Amino acid sequence: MTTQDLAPCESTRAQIASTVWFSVLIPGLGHLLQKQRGWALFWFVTSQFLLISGFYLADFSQLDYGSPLGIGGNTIIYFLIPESGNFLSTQIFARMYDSIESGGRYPTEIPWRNLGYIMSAMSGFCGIFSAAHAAGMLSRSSASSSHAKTLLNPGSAALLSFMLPGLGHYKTGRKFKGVLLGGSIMALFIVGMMLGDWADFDRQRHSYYWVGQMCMGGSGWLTALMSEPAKFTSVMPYQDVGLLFTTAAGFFNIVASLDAFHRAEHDILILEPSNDISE
Amino acid sequence: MMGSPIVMILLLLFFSTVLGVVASCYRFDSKKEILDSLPRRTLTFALVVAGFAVIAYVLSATVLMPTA
Repeated sequence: MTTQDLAPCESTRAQIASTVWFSVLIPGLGHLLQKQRGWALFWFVTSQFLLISGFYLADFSQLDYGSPLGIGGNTIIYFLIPESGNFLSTQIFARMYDSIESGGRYPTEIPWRNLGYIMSAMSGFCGIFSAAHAAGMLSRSSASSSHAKTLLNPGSAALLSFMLPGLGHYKTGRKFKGVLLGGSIMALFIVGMMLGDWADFDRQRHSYYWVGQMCMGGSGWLTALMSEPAKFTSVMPYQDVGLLFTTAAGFFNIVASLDAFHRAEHDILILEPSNDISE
Repeated sequence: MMGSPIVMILLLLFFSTVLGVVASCYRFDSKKEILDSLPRRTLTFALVVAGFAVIAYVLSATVLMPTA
């Protein structure tokens, strides 16, 4: 067996899979099934508050960026990313409200639209990372070693890396990797924003690229807020390159988060007596 | 608006380096392994993209040129 082959046992993997599904359906439900009521309440309230506030601030104009998916005219799910990370609530709102730019209003007439978009997107990411956190709790609680139970929750490592690239690696003792990975992703994002004159972070202009940019986590959300007043004053020669860079940086940040989860989980699994890798 | 080819090549090298860092960090965990594999991954990606760019340019200047 090599370190690459390490994985939780069969029963824990099955529990993790169901926890992830329940957490994405309703953030906090995965924790509730583990009888972690405090965490369940935290994830549920945070994600629902962000979603409801975000929808109200943007006057439900988020729904213009999604589309219903179904068979024979019957909508089965409403495809709206990244809000659908908080799945059930997004589906309910999409059926209760309608938008088309908020009743034909020009988007700039909705004053808090940008903040609303950021908050509702945060809610989707909140749902996804509540699943990672719940899965990490299961991995840690199933460990037999008492030392493993004191290690960083893999879900927390993933969340830290998502909020600030490389931070999850740094907190698990991988300082070189954290700085290299975080520095590279941040540099790509900043160079991309500079090439777009700090004005190319707009859901209305390019909604799918915007999702990628939002994957930059805390640093991306802050940039989205601060760059809202910036507008293009001329055609930029490398504007498209900038857009590609910022979007790719967001997706790289997701890869870094996944790696942070995997490495933190590995730190727990390697302490298990059944995972002797010396053979 | 068309940018300078030199700047485009520099931007490609920069992007390739970041991609190489992400790929190497995802694959390996130690400093030595990451740094050893980084140049190969960076160059491979940069050369593949540059190769596609050359093919696209040649096609656009010959058989795909509307006035050819």
